[in-house]
Amino acid sequence: MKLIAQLIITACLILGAVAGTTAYLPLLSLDDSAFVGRDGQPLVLRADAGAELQINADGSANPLAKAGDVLTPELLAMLRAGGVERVRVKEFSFSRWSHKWYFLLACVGLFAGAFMVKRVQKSLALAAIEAGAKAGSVVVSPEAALETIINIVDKLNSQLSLMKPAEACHAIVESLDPVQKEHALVIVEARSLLITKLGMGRFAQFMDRFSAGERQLNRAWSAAADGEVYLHEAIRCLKKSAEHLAEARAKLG
Amino acid sequence: MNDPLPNDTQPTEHNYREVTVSAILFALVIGVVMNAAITYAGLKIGFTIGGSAIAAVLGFGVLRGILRRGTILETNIAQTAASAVNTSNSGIIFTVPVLFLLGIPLVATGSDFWLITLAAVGGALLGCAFIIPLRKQMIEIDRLRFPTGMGVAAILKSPGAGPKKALVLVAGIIIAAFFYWPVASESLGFWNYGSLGWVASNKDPILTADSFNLGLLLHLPPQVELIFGIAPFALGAGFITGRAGLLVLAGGILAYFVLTPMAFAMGWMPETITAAQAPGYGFSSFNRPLGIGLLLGGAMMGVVVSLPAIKAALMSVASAGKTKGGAEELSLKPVIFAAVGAVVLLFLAADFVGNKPLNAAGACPVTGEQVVDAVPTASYQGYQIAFSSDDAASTWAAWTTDQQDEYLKSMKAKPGWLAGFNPHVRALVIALVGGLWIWLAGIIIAQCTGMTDWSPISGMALLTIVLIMLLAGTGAIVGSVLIGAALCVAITLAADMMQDLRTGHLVGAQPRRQQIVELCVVGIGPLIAMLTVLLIAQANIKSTGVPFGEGTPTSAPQAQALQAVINGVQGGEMPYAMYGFGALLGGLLGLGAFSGLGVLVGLSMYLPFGAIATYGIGCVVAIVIAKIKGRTWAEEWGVPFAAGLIVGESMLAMIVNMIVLATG
Repeated sequence: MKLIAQLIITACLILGAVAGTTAYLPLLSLDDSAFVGRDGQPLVLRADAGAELQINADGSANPLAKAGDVLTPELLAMLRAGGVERVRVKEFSFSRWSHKWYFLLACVGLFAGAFMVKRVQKSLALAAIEAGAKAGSVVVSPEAALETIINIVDKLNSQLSLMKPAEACHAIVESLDPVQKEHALVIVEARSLLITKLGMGRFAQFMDRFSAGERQLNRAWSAAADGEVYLHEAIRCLKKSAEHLAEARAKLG
Repeated sequence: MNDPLPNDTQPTEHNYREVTVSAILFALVIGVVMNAAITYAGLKIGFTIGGSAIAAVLGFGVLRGILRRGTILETNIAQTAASAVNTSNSGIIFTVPVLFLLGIPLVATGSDFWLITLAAVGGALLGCAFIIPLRKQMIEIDRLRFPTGMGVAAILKSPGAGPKKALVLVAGIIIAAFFYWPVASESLGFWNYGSLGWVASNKDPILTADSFNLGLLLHLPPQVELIFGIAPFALGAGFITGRAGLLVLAGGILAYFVLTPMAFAMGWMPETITAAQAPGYGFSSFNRPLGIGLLLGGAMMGVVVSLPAIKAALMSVASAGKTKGGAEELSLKPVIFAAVGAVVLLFLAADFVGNKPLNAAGACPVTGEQVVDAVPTASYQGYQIAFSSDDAASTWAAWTTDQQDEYLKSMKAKPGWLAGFNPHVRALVIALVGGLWIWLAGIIIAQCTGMTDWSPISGMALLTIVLIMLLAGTGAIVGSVLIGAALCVAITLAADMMQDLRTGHLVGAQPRRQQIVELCVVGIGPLIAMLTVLLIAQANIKSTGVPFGEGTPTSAPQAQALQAVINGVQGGEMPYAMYGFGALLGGLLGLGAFSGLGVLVGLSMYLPFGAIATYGIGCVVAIVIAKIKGRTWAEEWGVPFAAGLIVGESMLAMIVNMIVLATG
């Protein structure tokens, strides 16, 4: 189903873009009256049209009509006689647009494809939540990742006072490395699942608190990496982070 | 027994160094030097480079290496401020030189120069002020990656992350510099890849100075463009973006492998266009307008879809502002104050410049004599028209409407949508619309750089000028460029600020401090860029007789492209419908699983394929390495290396720019 929806979206994007390229390219098979602008004046060419049979020394050919030429009935007749099928004009009109129905079809298809993708996405996320609940605790679930982070921070907060400053700095850097590279990523990548579960508004509130806690952890890492002279800053940030992460856990429910 | 730990509740001996005098001074010096050098290079080659990575590396060298006291966060503040001073140059060089190209000179003693500078400073403030409230939504809630921001964070963290990672970063810098040297040094006249003389059977070069044409090697038809840019920066940015960046290729494939070959095969291009010319024609005729439209529509849909997140972010910012003493986010009050102040600056500039006579310092429409200051004027179709004498003004008043219209036509001055408004009200409306457009365009640019690292600044500049010319009239060139420069400066700074705030998030910087520093220094950049443009124009006039363009060392390619757009608007040649259809497709794409899809597809339709192809390789390499060695390994070792690639190219380009600037 998801694959079908994606194929529909891809096909309709191509169809829409192809149709769009012809917006200023009316067919010369249209009646002369179609080549009159909104101001009642004949349309003007935006690009050269047609090519003379005679080839120049450099292999190029001269156009039958040049950009800026006014499409008078005489010029239109000459272009038709020269086998030109379409001309690029300066002014757009729906009535002259040969591919308008294809474009409309593409829009409808994109809308339908988007609707299908949303539905599939929602059902997949719900299935994942259900499977997670049945299995008890899934290692990679955002809830589990958040708990892991909170445990790491709590452990650091309780053990740092027993360490020498240099050891404490080392412990902070070593302990927070996996938080930054693994556990936080799990939460970030569970975005669509969390949106399905919480709704966009509550998801935003959760991420707001989680990110605040994460930023404090990042600051703790930086302060610890900068040396033991800034250890107090690292400890302050770890405590602050614990508060933010607890708020995030409450938002997650 | 262990040494007691410092008690975090007591006053500490060493406050954590973040915003310091040395960091700010360093940033100002580096920012000004980068700004001048990159302004010159941008006028010469048509694109600019970001300064964050360079400033981060130099910051380490100076603050930690020489002064021996810089912290990670202090270096972060230094790179934030330096890039804020530097970044505004792209907004200036994409717009202001067009005035010279159109024969409207700027001089340091003239009011236009200073009004444009004032407007650009206002734009700089406005861009930063508008984007500040969206930090939470883009960085913390939507988690846009901002690859350069991540790369800079990897640089800042590398010493603390251990010597091995620092070595990986250095390896990336060296490898990037090695491969990019022939590309960068082309402007110095040194050996480049094109000198190898690797050509196809038809004598077309397979390897040029800055690209590798695989399509030619594989004997693909010329209308199918398969080119890879030699750009370590794009490779690194693609690697950091990872799988999500592959979507960027989708638009490129659509534009260069479907639309262009199909249009060529179906006879939708003029018969005089050859297969080799087809990609270029396709780009300007339909790929770029559709791409810009997709970008615009996709971004607008992104804003609509993100409204709950934006609302939550704003509520969070507002509540943080009520926290006494401990607020980590700049509250909405100073942001609103800065925004209102900047709109006032825009209004003043637009009011003064916009209401200058259409033929100021030109010829009188009646007598043909040059008009001078303090002359009689008349208002017609939203334009002020100056006369050489009272008699001439009386004669004009007696002219028929057809005669007056004919004069406006000769000046390529079509009435704008606001032609019927009082001139001051018109300036106010333009300032307000400009302010709103800055907000929207800032979001678009920030989203693009957040998702891909590419910034469609020239596309936004184009739309900005078109919008203002439609509002004010096609004759209001100086006014349009003035607002255009302000808006372009604003949106580039919006994206730069987001990159810096993303770096800040990753190293744990306090957003409030970064935001205040950026708002304090951001006005310096436009002044430096404007003075550099003026200096170069005067030097060129002295040596070649013309300020910019052909025959001068600074051809100002982006300004030439903008000149073509201005001529297009005046000549009624803008494909507005294609922008609209692109926007519709972009909006509908954003309705699906990923609201940024329209932005990514549009962006890659609008960029040269060579750039996105190399970027795509970076994405594929990231996916393959994550598959083989695991995601953590790719993040831990791949990101510092990719950051090195970004820094290596930027540093080398900067050094070459400095040499070019020094040697002329």
